[in-house]
Amino acid sequence: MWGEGSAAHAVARAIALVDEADAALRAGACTAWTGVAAQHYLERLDELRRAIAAARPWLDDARAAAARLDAAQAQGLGGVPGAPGLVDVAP
Amino acid sequence: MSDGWGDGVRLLTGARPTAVEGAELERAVRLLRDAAAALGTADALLAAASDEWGAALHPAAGGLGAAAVARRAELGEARRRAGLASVARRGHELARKVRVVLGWYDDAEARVGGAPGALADVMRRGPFAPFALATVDRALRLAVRDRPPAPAEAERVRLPDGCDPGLLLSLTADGRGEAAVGGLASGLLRLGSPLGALVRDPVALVAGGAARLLHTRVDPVVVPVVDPPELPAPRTVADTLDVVERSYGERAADGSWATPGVVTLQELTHPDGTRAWVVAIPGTQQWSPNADTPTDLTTNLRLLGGLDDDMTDAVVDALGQAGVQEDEPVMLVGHSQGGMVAESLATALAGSLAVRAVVTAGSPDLTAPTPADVPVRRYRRSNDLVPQLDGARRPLGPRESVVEVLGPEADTCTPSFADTHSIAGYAAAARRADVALAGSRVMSDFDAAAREVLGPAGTTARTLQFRAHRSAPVGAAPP
Repeated sequence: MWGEGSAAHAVARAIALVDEADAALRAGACTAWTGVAAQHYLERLDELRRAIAAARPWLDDARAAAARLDAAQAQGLGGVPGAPGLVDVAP
Repeated sequence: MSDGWGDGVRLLTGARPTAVEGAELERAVRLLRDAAAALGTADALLAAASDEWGAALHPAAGGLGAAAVARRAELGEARRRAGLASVARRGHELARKVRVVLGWYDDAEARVGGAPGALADVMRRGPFAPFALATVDRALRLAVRDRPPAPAEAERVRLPDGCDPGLLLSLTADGRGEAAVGGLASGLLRLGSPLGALVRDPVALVAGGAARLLHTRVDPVVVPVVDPPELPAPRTVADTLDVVERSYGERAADGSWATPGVVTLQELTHPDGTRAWVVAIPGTQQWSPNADTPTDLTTNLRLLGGLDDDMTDAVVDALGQAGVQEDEPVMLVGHSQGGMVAESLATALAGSLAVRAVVTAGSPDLTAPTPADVPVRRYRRSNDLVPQLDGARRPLGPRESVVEVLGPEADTCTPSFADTHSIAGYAAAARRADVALAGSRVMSDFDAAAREVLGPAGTTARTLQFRAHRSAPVGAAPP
C-alpha cells in the first residue's frame, strides 16, 4: 500500500535486517573448528562484517534521504490514496 | 589469502589434525545463509524505497516534482554506496564454501565408518563360513552399492547440470573404493584360509602373493637416452609434475607408450654453483605382468605387496650414472606407480643420498612408511580410483601431508578413469591447491624443503633421461 512515510519505513526495515545479518555473522564465528580452512573462514566472515560496517554511514544517509523523499512526496501529491509510488512493507 | 578456498581443496596432515564439530559448522552455514538473505532483502527494500522500480513502471511519477525526484536519486545513490547486494552475494558464496568444507568432514566420517564396517562384516561371518565368494560380494555390496550415494556428488565435483556421476564417481566418492578393494582382498584371502579374514593388510598380502607367483627378480638394464629434451628448471612443486609428464614420452599409433621405462633427472645448478637434482618417475606404462620394462603391472604388485622392485633399482642405477653426490639435495617426484617408486627410493637411499622431499601424485600408499625426516606431499584427486587401490588409508607421519583436490572439474558428463588420473590433471590440481591453500604453514614448510632443491631464481637446468628395461625375460631365472 502506498502511503506517507513508506520510504522511511522500508529503510528502517532494511536497517533492521542488516542488524540481524550482522548478529548472524557474529554468531556464525564458530570456534569449535580449527585448522587452515577455519582460519580462511573466519577471515572471510570478518571481511563481511567489515563490509556491513562500511555500509552503515550510507544506510544513515538512506534513512535521511527516505525521510526527505517522504516529505517531498507528501507535499507533491498530498497523500492521494491509490497514487503510484511506494509499496509498504509489513514489519 | 586466495579466493579459491572452499572450492574443493583440502590438506590432511599427521602433525596437527583439523578438528571440527559438524553440528557447529552446519549452524554456521545456516546463519550465513540467513544473514545473506537478510542483506538481499534489505537491498530490495532500499530499491523499493527509492522507487527505482516504480519510476520505471509509472512514468507519471515524474509528476512528483523535482524535489521528490532528487530525494529518490539520493536514496538510490545511498543504496548503491551501501552495496548490500554485493555483501549478500559474498555471504551466499561463503555459505556455499563452508558447505563444501563440511562435505569433506562428512566424507572423512563415512571413510572411517565405511571400510571397517565392510571388513567387520567379513569377519562376523566367522572363519568357517562356507562361501568365501559370497563374503567378498557382501563386502563389496556393503562398501559400494548399499552405501547411500555421496550427497550431491555431481554438484560437489561440478559436473554440468543433468549429468550422472556415473560408476567411477560412485565408486570413489568418500573413499568407498578403498573399502571395496580392502573387502575384496580380505575375501580373496578367505578363499585360501579361513584365517585370511583376520589379516590386517589384506591388499598387501594378496598383491605380494600374486607378485611372487609372477616374477623372479632380474637386474634391470639402464641406458642413457640420447638427446633428451631440454626442459626448463622447475620453480614450483607443480612444475616438477610437468617434468614427470615429459618422462612418459609420446604415444605410438596403437595407443601404447612409444618409449616406456624412462626416468628424467634434472641437474639443477643454483646461482651459488651448488647442484641439486629432481628425479621424475612415470607411472604404469604396460598393464601386463612381466613386461620388458619395469613400469609394468608386476612392479605395481611388488610395491603394493611391500617387496623389492625393479623400477626402484633402475632409478638407483640412473642416479649413479648421472653422478649424483651424497651431499647434493634430491627431490623425488612420481605419478601413480612412480609415486610409489619415489617413496620406495626415499627408503632405499636413506643414509646414502640427501633426499629433501618426496612428491607423489595419484599414488596408493606403500605398506612401509617413508623415513620420518623426509617431507612427503601426496596429491590425490578425490575421484581418482588409483590412490584407493591400497585398500586403506595409512596413518600420516609428522612430515607427511595429503593435498586432496575435489575432482574432476570435467567438461564431460561422465568422467573417465583417464580424466581423474592423468598426470596433466594432477599438475593442474597442484596449481589449484597452491592458490587455494596459500598461507598454510604445512604447505609453506614443504615448499621450503622443495626450494632447497629447486633453488632460487637464476637456477639453471640440464635434463638427463635414462631408460630401464629388463635384462632377461622375467619369470625365468637370471643367468
